[in-house]
Amino acid sequence: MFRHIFSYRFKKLLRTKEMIFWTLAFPILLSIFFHMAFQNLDAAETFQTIPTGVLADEAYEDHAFLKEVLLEVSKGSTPLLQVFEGSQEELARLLEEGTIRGYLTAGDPISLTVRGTGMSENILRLFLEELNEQAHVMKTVQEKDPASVPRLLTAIEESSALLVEKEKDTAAPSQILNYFYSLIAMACMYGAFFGSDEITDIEAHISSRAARIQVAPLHKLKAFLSSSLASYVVLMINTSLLLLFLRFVLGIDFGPRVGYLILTTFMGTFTGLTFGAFISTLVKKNENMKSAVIVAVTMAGSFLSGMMYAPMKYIVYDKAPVVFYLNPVNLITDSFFSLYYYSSFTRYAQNMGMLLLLSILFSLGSYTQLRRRRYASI
Amino acid sequence: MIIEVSHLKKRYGSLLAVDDLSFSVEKGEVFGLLGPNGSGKTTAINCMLSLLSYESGDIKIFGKEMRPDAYDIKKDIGVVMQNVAIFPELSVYENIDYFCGLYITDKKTRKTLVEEAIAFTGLHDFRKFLPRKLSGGLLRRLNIACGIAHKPKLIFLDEPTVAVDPQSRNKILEGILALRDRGSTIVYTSHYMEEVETICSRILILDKGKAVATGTKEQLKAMISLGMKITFDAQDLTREQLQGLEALPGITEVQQKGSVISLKSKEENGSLERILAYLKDQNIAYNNIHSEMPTLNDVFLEITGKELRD
Amino acid sequence: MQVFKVSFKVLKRNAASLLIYVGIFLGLSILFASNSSEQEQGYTSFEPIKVPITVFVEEDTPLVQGLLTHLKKSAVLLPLEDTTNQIGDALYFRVTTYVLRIPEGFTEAFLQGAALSLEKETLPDAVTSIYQDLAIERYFHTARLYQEAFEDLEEEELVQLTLETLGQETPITLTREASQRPSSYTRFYFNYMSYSLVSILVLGTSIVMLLWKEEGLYQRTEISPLKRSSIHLQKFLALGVFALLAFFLLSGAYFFLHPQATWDQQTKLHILNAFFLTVTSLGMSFFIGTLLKSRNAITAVSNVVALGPSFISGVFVPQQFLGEGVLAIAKLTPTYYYVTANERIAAMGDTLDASIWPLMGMLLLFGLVFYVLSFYLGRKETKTIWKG
Repeated sequence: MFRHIFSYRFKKLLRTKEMIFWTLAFPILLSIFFHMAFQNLDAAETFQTIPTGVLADEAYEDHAFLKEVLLEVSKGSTPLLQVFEGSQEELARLLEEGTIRGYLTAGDPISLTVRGTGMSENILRLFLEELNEQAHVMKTVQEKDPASVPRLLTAIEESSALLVEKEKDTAAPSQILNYFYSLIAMACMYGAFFGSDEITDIEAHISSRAARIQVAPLHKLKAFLSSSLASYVVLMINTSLLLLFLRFVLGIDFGPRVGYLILTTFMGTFTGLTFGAFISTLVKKNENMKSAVIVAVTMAGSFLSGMMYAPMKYIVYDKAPVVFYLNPVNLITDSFFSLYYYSSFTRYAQNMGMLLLLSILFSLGSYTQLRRRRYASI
Repeated sequence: MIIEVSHLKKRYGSLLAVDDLSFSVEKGEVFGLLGPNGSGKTTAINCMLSLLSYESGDIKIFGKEMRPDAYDIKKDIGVVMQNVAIFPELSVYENIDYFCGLYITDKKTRKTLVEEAIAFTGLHDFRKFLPRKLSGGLLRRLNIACGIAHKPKLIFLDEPTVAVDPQSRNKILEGILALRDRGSTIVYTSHYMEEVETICSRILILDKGKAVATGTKEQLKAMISLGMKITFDAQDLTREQLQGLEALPGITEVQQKGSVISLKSKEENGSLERILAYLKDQNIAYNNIHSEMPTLNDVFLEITGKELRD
Repeated sequence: MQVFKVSFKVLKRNAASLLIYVGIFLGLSILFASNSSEQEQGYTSFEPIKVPITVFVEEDTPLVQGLLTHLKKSAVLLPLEDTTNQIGDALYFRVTTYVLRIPEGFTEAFLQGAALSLEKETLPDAVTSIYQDLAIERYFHTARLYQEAFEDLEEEELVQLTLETLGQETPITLTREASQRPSSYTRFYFNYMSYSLVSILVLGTSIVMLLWKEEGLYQRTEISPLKRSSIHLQKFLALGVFALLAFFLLSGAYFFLHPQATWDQQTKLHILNAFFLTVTSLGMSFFIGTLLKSRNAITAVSNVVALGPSFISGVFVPQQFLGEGVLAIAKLTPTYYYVTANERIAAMGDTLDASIWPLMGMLLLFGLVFYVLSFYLGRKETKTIWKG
């Protein structure tokens, strides 16, 4: 009997195209969008030359250092700045129009005028601060001991970076991995639609098919479990395909603990499945409502775990830790993340434990409905 | 007795859907539950199948108490529900095989049974079709096949011919009689009295959850005073002539609607001759004279004052 | 007008589902807008918020003390237990954002002019670590310059000179408009609408479109004397009313939740842009609803169509970080034009940036194309058998 129900359920599921789309094609499509969007995030290639002005007054003419620096940074194929010299009125106008992001006024120190506080303006500010510092050093050395100036100039040429990122034995995931983890988690949670359908097909007050099954000589729960297992297998196949796609087509490296990653995915799928079943036992017949609740909770959960905006995860942890620990999407993504960030498994085990607990709670919730063999009305 | 229902009571909120219903069904019968929409037929069936909880009453099937976990009883029951209850993603063959498989676990036996069910319902040309490609009548046939493939001893059919073309309907009715001939007991609900009259051996008439009459066709018709109905077309009858018709022995009612005159008689025989004699005597030209035995609708009408079909 | 009335009635009946959606997406919009703008302030304002960092010093020298003094200008020094686990946890939960370690013997080696390196530990997606990097590098760079220039300088004097240099203010003038500029909350809020509005509209559209595809109802309306184009138009009108309601709700919520908002030129333009977005998104959902048959298919496609383009058009990851190739693809979606117009409106001063008009024009053009396609499809509508 088990094999009979399982195999027919499996057959039926493979023929429902929309379901397959939801749990397979949608995450894959989205991952392609992510991949496109993030390709440049890690690379430093996104820099664009900043158009800047400089006030062409007497002070500027006398400021050899500034002139030389500006010349240097305007050179090359992707220079830091593109410099416009002009009068006060000209520069003010260019700034207002947005043609230049800011302009420098020579002096001691050199000052900056800007119209906003965006990235470009900040870069100008930092650039100028360094410039002023260097000018100050030169002035100080000049004043204290002019003979030291040549040594200073040599030193300026030789500058090198000091800081080095610490090496760790666990790979620190790149920025974009968190987005993909959220995507996988979202895919797991779409198992909720499968779970919801399982309930529809076993509860006689939701569908007539279920009534047929309930008048047959078999135990309702056994039928439900056999059927749900088929759903779960289909889901596992789908999420595995997603993982394979991410790994081998998009080339995303999940690091060394892949086995645990897969385990998490399976656990997360189970949580999604039980969640959907539970919602279905609550809402019963209204398909629109079921769909709305599942999508809303899943998307909100994805958002709060940082899918659309990575820092969201930490904000939730800071301001609403309960949500952090109860949001299944977050638990899944956090499991992934802690696999790679920590060498010990404590945090990972905690998350998995919470997922299991949630699954059990959802299952119990569904059970209170499933248990009943007779209905008040159908 | 195959089925024994005693004092069944079922409420939906404040509505008493089944009110102290008692009846029994014997082996080999085609037992009809007849009543207008909302009279409690489906509710009664669902209670009998242990799908619905009920306030009070006893239900015994095959002499044993019927419960949701009475699998020994359930394996010999077949159900054809009012709604078409099948999987849209599975073909005709697969649907029948699936539901049959909930009863018959042996693959070989089942294969034979499914083939027989397909032949029985005339679905052979459609075995690989998906439900969305079937017409209403064919879907109903599929619905039936799914319910009876395992050759159950007791079959419940709840309004199986709703929205079905006449050809399919006849086939279905024939099929039901064939099932009876195979040895099954049938419980058949409908609000189409013609069907019930045709195939049912015993009938229970339901109204608002209460049994209003039970018996064979003949017994039911004998319950009412109506013996025969006669109608004919005639023009320009005078009031005296109408009264004269009504005065004839056995005639209980005369009605005139336009040119159609209808009469009701207590007696089954003799009224027609008297009427014809009267018309001849009065030199009334008539057309389309027609006599009819009382129908179950008449039974229902007389007992409850309402029509079976509103 | 029967089709219109019934469509609208059905929407009302499904109000609960719609409100859940609206509630959730509105909530997400607000969270997104307020947090994004806060974070953006963190790295774009000229008075950076002091972030917590941790420095483990294994020696106490004037050089090191000088560094700490310098760092305190832009950060808060947070003490931590020096164990791998504690550090790991602290970084993970942003209790601290940067960990620096100065080993014993560093100062001496530095003063002798050796080539050195310092170990830092950060999380890659903490944007503010760049400021710490700079602060540290500049400190030591300046110190190095002085040390190389003046060959025998006392450590204390070296530190003093360094701090003096680093203490130099760079005067920055913000022009009038800049200091008056509204926070980026507005910009993010309206950007996010490209996702939330589409999602809400799609739910409403699928409810209405699926209603009329149900076999019995479909057949009944087909055989009625109503013209097919009229049926189509009425459904569309019902959804139009719904879309307007959604638009007013989301726009109104903006004012309600952002009390500092004023009805100035920029806000008006943002709202206008959002209105055009509503119009176009309605066209898009209507097109999808006409084309597809089942609820799950409609919801699935719409979610991709809402979320995907939002990502590549710069709603979640700002446009300036997206590559040319990505933006080229984004230009094929209406979302790109909406977001770009939004960004330019947000950056406008008193003068109107005329480049927003062609952008809004493109946005509407997409909408027009969707309408035309859906009406054309509607006339050739194929029926589906929906047998329960």
